[in-house]
Amino acid sequence: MGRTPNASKQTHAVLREMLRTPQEWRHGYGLSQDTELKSGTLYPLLIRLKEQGFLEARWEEAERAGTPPRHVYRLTPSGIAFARSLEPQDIKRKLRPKLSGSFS
Amino acid sequence: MLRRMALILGGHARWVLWKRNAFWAEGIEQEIHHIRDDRAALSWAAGCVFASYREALRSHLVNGILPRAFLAALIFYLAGQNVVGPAQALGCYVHLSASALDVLALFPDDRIICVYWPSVPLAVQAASLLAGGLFALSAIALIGKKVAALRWFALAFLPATVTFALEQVLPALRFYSPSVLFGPLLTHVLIGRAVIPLLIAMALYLVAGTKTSLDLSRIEEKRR
Repeated sequence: MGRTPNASKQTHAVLREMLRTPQEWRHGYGLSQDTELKSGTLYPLLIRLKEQGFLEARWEEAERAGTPPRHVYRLTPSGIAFARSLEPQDIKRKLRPKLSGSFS
Repeated sequence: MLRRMALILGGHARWVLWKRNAFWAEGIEQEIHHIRDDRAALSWAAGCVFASYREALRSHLVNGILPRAFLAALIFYLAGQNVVGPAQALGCYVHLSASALDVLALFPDDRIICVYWPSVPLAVQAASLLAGGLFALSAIALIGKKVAALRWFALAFLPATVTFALEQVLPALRFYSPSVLFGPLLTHVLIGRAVIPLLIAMALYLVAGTKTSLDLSRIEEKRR
């Protein structure tokens, strides 16, 4: 069984932020500044969202000379659909934990 | 200096995560080079170290049989700790021999049983047994990679903690003996029944704590 989405407040913040400009590739640091999440929280979320197929990531050449390429991220179509489905009135219900199934 | 420290931390985060997930290991490290403010880079890098350890540990526990078996063994140990006291008390009630009671003792200083355990109320002993059973269920679920491991563990945690406190306090009050209270609290009992459960709870949360009831098919259906 695949992993089901994490619906923490932090995940919602990331999804909402990325949904503002769904076609745009975003940097991790920029996302962190916009969502006010620290890297220790942000990266596990991004990793999980990518595993779940809600996020795509690729390398982007650096704009400044002498700096290495960096990761950029954006929502996949299913990620966009999922983020859009998270209406504020639904969040509480969807956040209710269901501790069943298997982890992988 | 701050920049240098940030790069060292970033390199460490990369090293921790590299074997498990090279794509993210490299991405996490390289992002630091793009942060112009040195202090912000250092803070970012420190978070990256935390994230890399967290992901490496989660990956170990989810994918590795041995780490999961070790965690399950620790939970079984907790189950044993909660079951052994009531079992010894039962042994006292039915007048088991001292040597038979010793078999039930996990540690040498548990062998004071027939004075100590009968002074613990039956309800407390029943709660302890319940906690032991729930811990055992949690361990079995963990071996089967079931997310319910976390639920059973959380359910066991409360009765285990309450009975732990009562098992220590009630006999101490009865015998007016602070040593009965503080002796075990300062020895293996505290580690075994307070520190280890907390560590296990954190590890279980990493493995199974991110599950929710988000049912994608229902969401899709609703959207249509």
